[in-house]
Amino acid sequence: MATYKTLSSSLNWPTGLGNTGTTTLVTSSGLGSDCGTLVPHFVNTTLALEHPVVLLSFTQTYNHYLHIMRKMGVNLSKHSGMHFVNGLTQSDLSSLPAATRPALTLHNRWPEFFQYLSELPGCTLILDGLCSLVDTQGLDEAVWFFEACQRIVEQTGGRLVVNVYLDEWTEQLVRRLIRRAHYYLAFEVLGSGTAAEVSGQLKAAPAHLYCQISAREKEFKPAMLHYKVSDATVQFFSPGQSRIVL
Amino acid sequence: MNATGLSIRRLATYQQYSAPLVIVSETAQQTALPLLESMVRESIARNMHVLAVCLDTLPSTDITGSPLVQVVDRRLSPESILSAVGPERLPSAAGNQASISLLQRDIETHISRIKTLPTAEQGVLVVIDSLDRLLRVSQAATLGLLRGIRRAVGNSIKTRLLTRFGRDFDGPDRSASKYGNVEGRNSVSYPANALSELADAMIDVYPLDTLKKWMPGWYSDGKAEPFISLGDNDFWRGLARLEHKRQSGKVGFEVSTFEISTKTGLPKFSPIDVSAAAQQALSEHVPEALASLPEPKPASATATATATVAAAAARSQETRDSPAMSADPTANLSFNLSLTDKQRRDKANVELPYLEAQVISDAGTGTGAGGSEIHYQLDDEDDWDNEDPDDDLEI
Repeated sequence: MATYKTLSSSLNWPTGLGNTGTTTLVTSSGLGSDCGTLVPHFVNTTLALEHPVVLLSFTQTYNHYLHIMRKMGVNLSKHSGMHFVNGLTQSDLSSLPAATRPALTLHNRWPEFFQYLSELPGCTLILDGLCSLVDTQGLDEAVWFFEACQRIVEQTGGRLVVNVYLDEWTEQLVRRLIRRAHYYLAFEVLGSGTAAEVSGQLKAAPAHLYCQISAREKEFKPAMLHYKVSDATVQFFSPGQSRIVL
Repeated sequence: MNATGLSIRRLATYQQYSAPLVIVSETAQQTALPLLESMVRESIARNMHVLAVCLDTLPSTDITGSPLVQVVDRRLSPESILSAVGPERLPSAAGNQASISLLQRDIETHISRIKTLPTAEQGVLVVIDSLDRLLRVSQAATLGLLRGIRRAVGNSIKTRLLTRFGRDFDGPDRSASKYGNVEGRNSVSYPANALSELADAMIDVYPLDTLKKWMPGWYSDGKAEPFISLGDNDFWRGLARLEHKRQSGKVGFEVSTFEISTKTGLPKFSPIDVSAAAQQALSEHVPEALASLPEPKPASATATATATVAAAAARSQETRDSPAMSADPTANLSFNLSLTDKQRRDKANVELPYLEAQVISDAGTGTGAGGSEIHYQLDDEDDWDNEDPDDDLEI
């Protein structure tokens, strides 16, 4: 399934997402962990709530996400609320078939993108691989882009999710983003090595702005979970509680 | 030390000390935003006028909803975002040094207006939510802005400029980054040093778990520390280190824990004694004391746990240091090492074996052998030499 119910209940997220108007920062460190693991969850959960999703990817094409979601039993091309923005290439990929063609290409068209975003109230904006923007534009520009997206999403009552790879080159970016985020989810490799039954661990903690969330139906619960990526789903469980291990 | 004597508490409640510029510093691992907002609530509770300058985020709704609070919103505006032509020309709330000067003049105008109000005597608090954006534009202009506003608020107990910034602004927080030093980046934070020089009080905020690293006997196990631990960014409690420069020139340091009340949103401070005497006592008593404490949970209040340990250790340290105790090492034992009078007499009357023979032989008289003498029968191979074998020693 593309929605991770165990994760939502562990974090005390009744809707499967954070509060509206919030920003979730997801990082991955180590080659074995991948913060893109949560993209299907955020996409599918938002579509289930009948809100639009804008997926801006700096690392993959639309086809990549379509295949993953199809394996999980979700046909994204049939959802009118799904909007993909190409941040990977400079060309607009207009020659692609309609099913895999992006709605917009970001390169040098930032005002158009912001306008496009402001016309989708309540949307979940997912920035996948924002660290790539640091390489092409610089740290200040990448942070400005993030802040601009955050202001527009806050104004429209949506949510923002940012995926970043964490290493020595992106550490400053993450330090600045965590100050502007409400939730922080970190995908890490297991400290004890690799295992066939466990793909890695997820650490969830509040970020700097969490204290300002006034309408908290339930308290966000910091947690550490292990997870296992299989062909059609991702399973989250408490450390040592894998069904295979037990 | 009791909680009422804490300098940070007196600072937060506007008692006794005037501190026109108070800077709270944070890192990615522990935000200072809850403490900053709780200090703002403390000001509101005292009917002070609050001028909230917002460069990154708006304050919590309970603060912005107060009639005493005036918000100066200088965040990125949606209009400027929608008019951005691309990464080459980015509008920015701080912009350049000229815009920092404009911001300073704007704030000073607001302060002058507040001071003309009939209720101005209740005091004025100017709070800038974060200096990070300004420091990225120009550190010199930011320092100039702080000096100017500090002058404008004046030097009384009930006027203050309160702000925060990230200690890890331009590199790791005074220690090597988990990911190593990248070329071109040093670990000395110039803004932190410059701001520390300028501020009348500097409050550094840490996660509560950091306290164990300040205690003697702690050592790293060599494993890399995670970027964020589960107990980090606790929005209810943390560790605060205060550096306070009085007008007399005296500089005071203090370490305390703070906890934000869930009902009032106001801060509560508890003392932590990290002096040499307490550290010595803590190093001996911490394992026993910690063994009796429950495991800390993120949602439960354990801010006073280490303070309790410190207090117990301090009491036992006082007991051990009293003169009567140190003179007699057998005084506080659970078993008896002393002798009764009869035991002493019996011990004195014990006759040691062969003692009589030793005494007689020393006197040169008595029965038996008549003194010490060694009889040795030479073998055929022995070559008796009358010379002294130690004759060549120059002793």
